[in-house]
Amino acid sequence: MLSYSVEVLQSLLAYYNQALWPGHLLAVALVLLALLLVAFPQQWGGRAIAVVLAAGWLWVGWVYYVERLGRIDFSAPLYGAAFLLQGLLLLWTGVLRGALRWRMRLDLYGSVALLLLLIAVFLLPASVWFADAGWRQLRLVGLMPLPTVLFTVGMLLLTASKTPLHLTVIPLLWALAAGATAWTLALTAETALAALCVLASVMVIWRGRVARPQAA
Amino acid sequence: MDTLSRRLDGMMNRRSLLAGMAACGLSAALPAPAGAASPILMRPIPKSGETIPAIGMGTWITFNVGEDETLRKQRSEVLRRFFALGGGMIDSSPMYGSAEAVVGGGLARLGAPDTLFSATKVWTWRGSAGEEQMANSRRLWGLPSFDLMQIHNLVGWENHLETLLRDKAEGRVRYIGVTTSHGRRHEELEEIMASQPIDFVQFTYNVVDREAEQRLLPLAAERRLAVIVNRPFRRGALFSPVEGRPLPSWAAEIDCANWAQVFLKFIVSHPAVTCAIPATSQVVHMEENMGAMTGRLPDEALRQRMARDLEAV
Repeated sequence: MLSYSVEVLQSLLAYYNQALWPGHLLAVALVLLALLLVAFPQQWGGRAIAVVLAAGWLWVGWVYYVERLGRIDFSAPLYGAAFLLQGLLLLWTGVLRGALRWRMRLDLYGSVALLLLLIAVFLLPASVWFADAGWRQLRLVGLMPLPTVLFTVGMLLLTASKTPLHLTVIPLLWALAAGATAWTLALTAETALAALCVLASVMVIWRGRVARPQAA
Repeated sequence: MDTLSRRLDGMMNRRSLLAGMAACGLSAALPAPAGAASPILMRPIPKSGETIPAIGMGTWITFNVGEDETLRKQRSEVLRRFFALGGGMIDSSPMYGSAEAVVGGGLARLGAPDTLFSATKVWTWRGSAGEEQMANSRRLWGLPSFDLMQIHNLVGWENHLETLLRDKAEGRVRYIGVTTSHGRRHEELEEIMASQPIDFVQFTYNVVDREAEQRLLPLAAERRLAVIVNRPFRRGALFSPVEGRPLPSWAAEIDCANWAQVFLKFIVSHPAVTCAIPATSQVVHMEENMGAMTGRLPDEALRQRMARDLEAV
């Protein structure tokens, strides 16, 4: 049950992007840093990537959902709370416990991960640009929910060991809810991307179930 | 009639005029406001005799436009046309995002006319938060009090009803009511209608969703409750099957120029219905909707035929 129209959502996005500029540059820089750390692992890389991911979830949860979307959508604070929780879980798991390490992989999981990262970081912003919607409709990782979830699920497919289940639950539930919303609004591309997110989240869970325990 | 209306405007406002007319047993058709071609359909609030225009305005989705000044101005134009064509009731809720603020902004821009019948809702599970929420609604609308305060979707109704009764006694609200848009809650709604001292009830009724005819509408008539009808177009779904189709031959018998008027006249011709509240973000749709307040209404035989024909579509 949506309380706003696509037109109003686009307007909200325009105001949001306008208010954030030039914060976009920082978001892009952090995302590229995370990708570099996957390609060229460092001792401290796992924790740094977790901080980048957590920062994105916390920002989207508070600034986008609670402060912005909350003005037109009564259910936005609920989504905001879920994003804040995911941010805290990433901090706890990846930073405090240091339980997340990333590496490139060339199997099916790696290919799907690459696809998700490509869409989240490059194709989604580019599609908005080439659709003549202008930078005001820009959706970037760490600033908007869809690219943030796509990017995170892609990264979770690239963890060196099995991904803790608790990091997959919120992205999966969000993708299901977002898919239903996009379907209601007849947003075909968003519906397809949410479906891809669901599929990838299931793959993360599946990989965790079949993964062998790593030797210490 | 316009002249009479203007002369009387100087002596008393439109609302008190309407209440007086109804109390004297006069007709419920009011002289046309500026911009309207013929007398508009008015309906009495059973508990007071005050009459209000039979077509109001909902704000769900349509007035939830956030901070966008361009969209806010567009909605103000919708409001301007609504009032120009004799509109009265505006219904909103804290659940509708920025809708109350947008209505308030529109009223500030246009000036709240005497015909305004302000209706909003309290929507919170916590009884203690209800008063604060209602005070916030008054601030957003820019009004010292509401004409009607309703309990949204029966949420926490036991607690809120106490507050509403007190507010009514102390003059912060003139009428109180309950709403639902869920068929599954009709039983509970019936219990409230039958047992509580409310003035208004709001539920869904349209040419396809006619469940209310069985129990709710007769009960409202029996309990002398004013009835507000939400989702008159079934969230717009009624238009898809008739898109591109010519109006049925009987539409001319009730002076309908478009499908919106067909759907609305079906609703407001039910004797227990006080007001239907279609929502729109378009001036042209507002004009179509308000047109349902003029001309002839279907009698019972034609209503049956309308339901049969439209169900077939």
